[in-house]
Amino acid sequence: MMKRLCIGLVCILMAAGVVSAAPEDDRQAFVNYFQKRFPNVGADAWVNGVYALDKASYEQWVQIEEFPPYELALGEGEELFNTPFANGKTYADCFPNGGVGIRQTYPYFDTGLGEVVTLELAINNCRVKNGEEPLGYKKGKIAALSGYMAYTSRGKVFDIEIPDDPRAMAAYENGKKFYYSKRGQLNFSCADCHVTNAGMQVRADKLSPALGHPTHFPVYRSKWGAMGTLHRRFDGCNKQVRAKPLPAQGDEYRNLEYFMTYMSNGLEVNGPGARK
Amino acid sequence: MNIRKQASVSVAVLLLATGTALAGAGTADADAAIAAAEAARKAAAEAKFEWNTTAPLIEEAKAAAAAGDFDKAVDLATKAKFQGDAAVAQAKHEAEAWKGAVIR
Ligand code: HEC
Repeated sequence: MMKRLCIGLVCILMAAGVVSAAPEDDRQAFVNYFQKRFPNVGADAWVNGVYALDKASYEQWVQIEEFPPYELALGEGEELFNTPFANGKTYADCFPNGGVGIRQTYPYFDTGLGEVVTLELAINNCRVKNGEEPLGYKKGKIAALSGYMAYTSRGKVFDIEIPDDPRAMAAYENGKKFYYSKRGQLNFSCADCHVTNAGMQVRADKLSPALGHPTHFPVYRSKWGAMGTLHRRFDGCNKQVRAKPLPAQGDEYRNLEYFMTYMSNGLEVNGPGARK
Repeated sequence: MNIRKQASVSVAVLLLATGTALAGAGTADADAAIAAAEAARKAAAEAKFEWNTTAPLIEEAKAAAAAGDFDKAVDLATKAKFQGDAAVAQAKHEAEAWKGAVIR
């Protein structure tokens, strides 16, 4: 009886703890979890996704990276980036530092707009502001552009901030909630696969660890035979558990990206990446 | 009325009675089941927890109804409604349960 009461109390305390946990405490716990679980993975190797866990596929992947399949997209992205809009302005006019070497600060919470702004959203906001049509969010030109911008940022360290604004904190919490909530007919959360079962085999795939997930996006995926954005990947992972995906760049996915990228603070930008 | 004739009449009556019962679902039943399924799917979508298997079931139910197979339509729509309700229950459950999964 006493024991049961204690467990009940601990549960209450723990539940209260979650609500008040600072994002930085969350991040520390996240990193510690993976480092304890995979002690042979170097602190900066998480950016390599599943290849951080598997030596044989790592070596294959290093060879692929010698003639990277995203190279064409990089060329396309650079050209798009430097081509002026009809009004003569360019992407460089919309971004800090002319849009070069800035990937590590995305997504950020825009206190003016009151919402999370991802790199892809910022690209389209820039287009619309200059009288151009917005691009589709999952593949094609948007991925070429954000891939090129990531490339100019390689080696910079992710530094996502959560400003002292209750709306920013709410966005972070919503992203965290999404990450840990079970969904779909199969009743799986993101964390069920990429935290609890990281390193395990699911059919033809080994599950990659959540830590470092966003660092190399957008990504060239052999399965797609093309580039895709992080939200394209969210779409696929939602479908895997038979959940209906939510709109790319809608609130939910942007908040999710905010939480996930915050967890990867301190890791290097290495996008675009190549994956199976 | 001879016995034989009487027997065949009662058989006919019996057939008529069971016939109506066995005819099962009609258009109205199918329409009601589909409407209920659609309402459940919508509630799941509003909670942002819709399963991607639900809308296809409803589409199949509509196709079955259009083809005159009302029993099949009701059956499929009932499955879809169950899924919509289950997704709403999942959303309600996860509203608190996710906290227990957070890495600490
Ligand atoms: C049923 C298991 C499962 C669930 C649940 C799941 N994923 Fe995945 N995910 C995979 C598999 C399999 C892959 C491909 C192999 C790999 O890299 O892990 C993958 C890949 C990814 C990748 C790409 C990794 C890389 O290195 O390029 C990201 C990012 C990702 N998932 C995010 C998520 C998010 C966010 C969620 C929750 C919305 C989620 N996943 C839910 C199975 C799952």
